[in-house]
Amino acid sequence: MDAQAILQRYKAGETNFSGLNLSGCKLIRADLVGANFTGTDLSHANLILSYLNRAVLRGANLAHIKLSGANLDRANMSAANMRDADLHGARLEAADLRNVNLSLSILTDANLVEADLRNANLSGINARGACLRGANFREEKRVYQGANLRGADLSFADLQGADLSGADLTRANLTGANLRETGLRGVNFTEANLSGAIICNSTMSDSILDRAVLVQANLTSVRAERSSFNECNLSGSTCQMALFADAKFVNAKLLQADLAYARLTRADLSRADLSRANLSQVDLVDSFLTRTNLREANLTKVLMNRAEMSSANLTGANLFNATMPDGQIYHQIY
Amino acid sequence: MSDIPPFLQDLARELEHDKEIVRIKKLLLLACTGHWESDGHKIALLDTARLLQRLHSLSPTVDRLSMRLKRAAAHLNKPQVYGVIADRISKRITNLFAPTDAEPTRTSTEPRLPVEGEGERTLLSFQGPGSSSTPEPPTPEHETQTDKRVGNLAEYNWFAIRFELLRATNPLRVKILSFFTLDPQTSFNAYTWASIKSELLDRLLYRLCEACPTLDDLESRLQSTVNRFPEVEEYAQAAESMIRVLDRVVYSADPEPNQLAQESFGATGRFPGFELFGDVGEGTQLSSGLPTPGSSEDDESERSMFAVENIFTRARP
Repeated sequence: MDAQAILQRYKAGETNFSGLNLSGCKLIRADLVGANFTGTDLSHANLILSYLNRAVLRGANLAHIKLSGANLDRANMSAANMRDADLHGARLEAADLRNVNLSLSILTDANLVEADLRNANLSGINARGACLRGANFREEKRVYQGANLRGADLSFADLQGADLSGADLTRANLTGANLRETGLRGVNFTEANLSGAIICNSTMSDSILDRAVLVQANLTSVRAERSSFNECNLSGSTCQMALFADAKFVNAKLLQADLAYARLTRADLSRADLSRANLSQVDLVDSFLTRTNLREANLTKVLMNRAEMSSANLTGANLFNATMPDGQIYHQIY
Repeated sequence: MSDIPPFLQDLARELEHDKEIVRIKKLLLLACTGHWESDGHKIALLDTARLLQRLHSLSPTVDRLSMRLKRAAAHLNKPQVYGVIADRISKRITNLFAPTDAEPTRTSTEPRLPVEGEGERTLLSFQGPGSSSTPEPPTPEHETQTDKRVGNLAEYNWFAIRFELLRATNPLRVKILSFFTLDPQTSFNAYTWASIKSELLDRLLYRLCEACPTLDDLESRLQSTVNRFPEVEEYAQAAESMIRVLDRVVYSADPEPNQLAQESFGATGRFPGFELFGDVGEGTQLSSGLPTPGSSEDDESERSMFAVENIFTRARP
């Protein structure tokens, strides 16, 4: 069946096109609102700027499909194969994309607001500048695995309020992304690039950020208890009032980071570089500061009760009114 | 004056008998072109009917027309004096089209001015060479500013702007419109398609706002671009959404410094985020800089140039 026949049948009132072979079909700007393409083969088809609002594409073969600028608001594409699809500037608001395979797809500047992406395979996607506010990627035990976003390019993407709990973002690029108030519990950010990202007020407890780059990232008021930042680069970042209790920063770089009022209770900062960092009024009670570099750091009013810091480098550090490991208040200003 | 609708000619004649005709013409010129003219001789040469025609083309409803006049008046050194003038013009226009006993079924709260045929909607002939004897007044930068203006663009929350815009319309159409408004001389080909794909939407919007310092500039330039597309209706919807969103969040009289932007980017005067990392685009840069005023001719060659379907089927992004 060709494109013309589809359009004629749709115009005549037919909406069920499930199971057809429409591979390579050209349906540019076609109005197919609410049509049913369940299990249909639309691979390599061209549906640029088409209207597929509320369409059903469940389990369809949409590999290499061109959907630039298409309107897929509230469409159901669950379990579809959308590998290498082009969705540049498409609308997918509140679309059902559960279990979909979107690997290597282009989603630049796409609207995925409140899309359901649970258990979706999004590895290697290009979603630069995409709007994913309120999107759901959440892992749900025994039902949905965390979304696979390994190697995804999400630079300057907007993920505010999205739930990425349990997602795999290994080596993902989140440069300049908006992750404000995002659910990031148990996310794997190993070797991810989060430079300049805004992660304020997000919950990222039990996450893995080993070897990730967070240069000049904004982590104000973030909750990251028990998270691992080993060998992570947080230089120039803002982490004021962040919660890092029991977190690991072994060999991490925190040069000139602003950690004022942060809570690092029992945190492991062994061999971390915190030179010229602002640790004013930070809670470092019971923390591990073995060979930590605190050169010229601001440690005014810091709480270090029982902290292990006998081998820390405090050259030029400002310890005014700091509470030392033995409970004594330090008064000398360097 | 034969191309000017009779109702505008009547209105012009009425206004010319007003003792404040000089100020009326000054305000009309400002509302139409964004330029302030204080030279009495040049003002005397201005054709009131032409000014009204131009104003009508830019703001085809009574409400929008009144709003445009009020905005222009509000930015002058004597806002109260010109506010009264704006009200006077608006009132006369409203009276002209107020429901009468002969039109008992008219219920719209925003009556549409009569339009003499679709072709006259934008009244582009007003701007055409030799089509008018109206002198183009110089820009008195120190005296006034017109319309709503952009503030420091780096202070705005571009995530929020993009979010609002993406919810209101089609992201791809916004990108295409922005691209061709910025570079009106460009034709739609594989190269430009690749450029549109590589440049992020909010960066295009940022450049568009930079290039259109006032809301009037934005409206008129977007309108010109819309008229060049075969699918006018779809692009008009996108343009309308862009104007509505950008009017509220970028061109508002008192833009509020954005907390998010300050937290993350600071006021650098460059596109938020990009100053940190350089150009992280996929490589393709636009060949031209800021746009020059584009051709408004709506001829067939331009329409075919914008035959989107053809390029979408051929282009290899």
